Amino acid sequence: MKKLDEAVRLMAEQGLGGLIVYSNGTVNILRASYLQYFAGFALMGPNNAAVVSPTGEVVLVVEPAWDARRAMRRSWIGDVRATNDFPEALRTVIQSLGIDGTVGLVGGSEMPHWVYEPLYKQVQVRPADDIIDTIARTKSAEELALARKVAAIADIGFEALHRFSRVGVREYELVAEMEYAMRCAGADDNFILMSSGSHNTALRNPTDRRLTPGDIVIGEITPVCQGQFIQLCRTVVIGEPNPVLVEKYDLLIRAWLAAVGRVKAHEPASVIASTIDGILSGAGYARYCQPPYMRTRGHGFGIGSVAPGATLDRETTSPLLENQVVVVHPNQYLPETGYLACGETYLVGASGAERLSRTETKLYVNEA
Amino acid sequence: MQTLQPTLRLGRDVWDSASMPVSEFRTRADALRAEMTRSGLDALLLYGNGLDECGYPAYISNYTTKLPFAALVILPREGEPVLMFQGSTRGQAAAQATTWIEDLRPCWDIAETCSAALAEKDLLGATLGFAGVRRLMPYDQWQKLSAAIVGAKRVDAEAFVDKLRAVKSDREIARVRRASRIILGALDSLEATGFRAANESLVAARLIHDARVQGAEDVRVLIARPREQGWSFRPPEDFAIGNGETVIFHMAASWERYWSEAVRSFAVESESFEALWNETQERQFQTMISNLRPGRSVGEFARIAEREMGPANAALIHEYGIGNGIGVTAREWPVFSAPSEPLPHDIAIERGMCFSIRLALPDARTGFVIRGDTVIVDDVA
Repeated sequence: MKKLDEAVRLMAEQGLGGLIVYSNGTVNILRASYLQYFAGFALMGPNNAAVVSPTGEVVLVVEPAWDARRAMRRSWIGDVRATNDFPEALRTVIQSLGIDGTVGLVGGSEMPHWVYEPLYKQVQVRPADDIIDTIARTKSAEELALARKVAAIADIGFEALHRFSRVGVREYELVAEMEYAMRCAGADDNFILMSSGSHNTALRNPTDRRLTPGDIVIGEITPVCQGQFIQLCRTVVIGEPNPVLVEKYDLLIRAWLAAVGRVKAHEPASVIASTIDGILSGAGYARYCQPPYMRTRGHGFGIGSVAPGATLDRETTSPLLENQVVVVHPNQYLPETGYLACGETYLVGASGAERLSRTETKLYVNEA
Repeated sequence: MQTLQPTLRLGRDVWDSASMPVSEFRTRADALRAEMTRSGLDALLLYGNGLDECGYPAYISNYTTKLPFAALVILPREGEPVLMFQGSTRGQAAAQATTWIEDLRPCWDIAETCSAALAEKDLLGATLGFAGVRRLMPYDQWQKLSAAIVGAKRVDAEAFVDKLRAVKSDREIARVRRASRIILGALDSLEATGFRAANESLVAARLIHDARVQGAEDVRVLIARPREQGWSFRPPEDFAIGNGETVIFHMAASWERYWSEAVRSFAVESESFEALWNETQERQFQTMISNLRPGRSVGEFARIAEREMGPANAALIHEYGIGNGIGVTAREWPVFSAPSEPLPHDIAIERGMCFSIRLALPDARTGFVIRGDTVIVDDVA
């Protein structure tokens, strides 16, 4: 098992006497799912961990106990310990594996104090997220295939956004149809934010609002499959768009195209933000290139690593690397139009960016 | 019951302040303050995080976390509360639309923001009650907060907050009922639907969709297939469902913050789902939950339910627990029984409590059926 071999190698390199990869059962679009990546499936309960010894023995501790049967079937880790008392089970496993000295803790930012306290008393703990992050930076063929599969699901999600952005449909009904379309296409989870109105201020959760003629419907369409997110950001206008909206959306497309043109391996990731901000600033919107008028110009997606970062801005120092999955989105509030959504997910290549979804990037117009 | 948490609570997000007015939250704040006075607390810190453990701040503020982030409310004994949540400033307007608390502070570092707010209110050295803080806060955040309130007296206040949360107002009960109608409607609709080449994920997608279009803000589905060796409830996967099988669905959904859960068993015949439930089972079930009434204790109900189910059927439920309180979270105090824990005989059942109950009953065709429902003690009484 390559992940285990790599973990053991990196543990030795860092002088660690053991490694704990922890999860509190949550999935966060802005963070890597370290244990899901390492164990090979999504953990459900409030406390779970893989414990690795320096010699490569590995145990998966699963809470609640009744979820251990699923873990045994889904994970490559053969030694699964079911528990309803996680701190005690973790203590026992650490002891039985003969782990001592300094132990690396991955996913520690999720670990509650009452779990950490007894662990801290048993062994010396050091944050070690970088170990899984390092392993996950090289994507396997399966991971790349998964990213492409999820990108195709995002296209289906957009088709639903386009089809159901009709007068009279409530926002939450629209989201229900997008979610259903993507689940039927293979998504096991979804991250969908949207907004509708003549002048949107941000992406948000759906409300009771019914779509009306002239509405601008914005959507952040993000299916998830086995922990892999892929995002499409799109804008649909109901009825003939006014010329200002067309002009401003063209501005975003120009910014997006220019940024995508700079995406290739070994470029600094900051190039995405600086290119987008440069074009928008040139058009007179420099003061809008900051929160709350926008959040970020893009971010990385991945199961075990979100490199080059969960927020890509002008200060991002990490470089783009081959096979990173990166969304480039000049999503932006403009005073004349409100918030607009425009963006795509790419695979970083040696000489350029590979577009993952197929939906054309443009302002979509539905009949009123 | 434990379910897989989504990455985003993506459904309808509305605060209908006509049917859940500010006065409801002021009443809750008053009740909490009365307990704070009894306990000598200067302020109460109500903390929650993730999509399953956000109950304490949601109860007092109506704000709920939609991402796996944290929220915290400082409720001073005197003065207005402060709500802080992990998130960017662009989320402030949407958050403000769902809460009555006016002092709203989006941030990324809850411990830091909390410390600053306590300092502003001159509460760093006060007597502080904690609900959810010690149990849920990540250790790095806890250490930072602890350092800031080193001069404060810390008191565990979960017990009185849990007790107040457990007894629902009429408005809360109305929301639990609405959530129940949503999930029961979705589960009932399975019977009316034929499924050619059904697989678990597609059936779950259908259930989730049915709940969403009824306004569910969060929906969870688990499946159990007793024909599987060593079966247990689990998230749906891409496995085909064939004729002749028994399939059990656990479904939970929330509507305007309030949850309901249900479990239904089906036989799959001729590419359709047939509910496994008859009048005798209904009578048995109703007789058992009729014991869920004021005057009995939670442990007493659990003991009676286990006895009525018999050892074999009780064993099917044991690891999930017979039931628990339900409200702004799908699992809350009191828990009827948990593996390896003694039955809580000292917790009295009160009018207005809402419970998620799971029972296993004998069935002539399949050996057993599992049935779960959300029960309001007023109804039983």
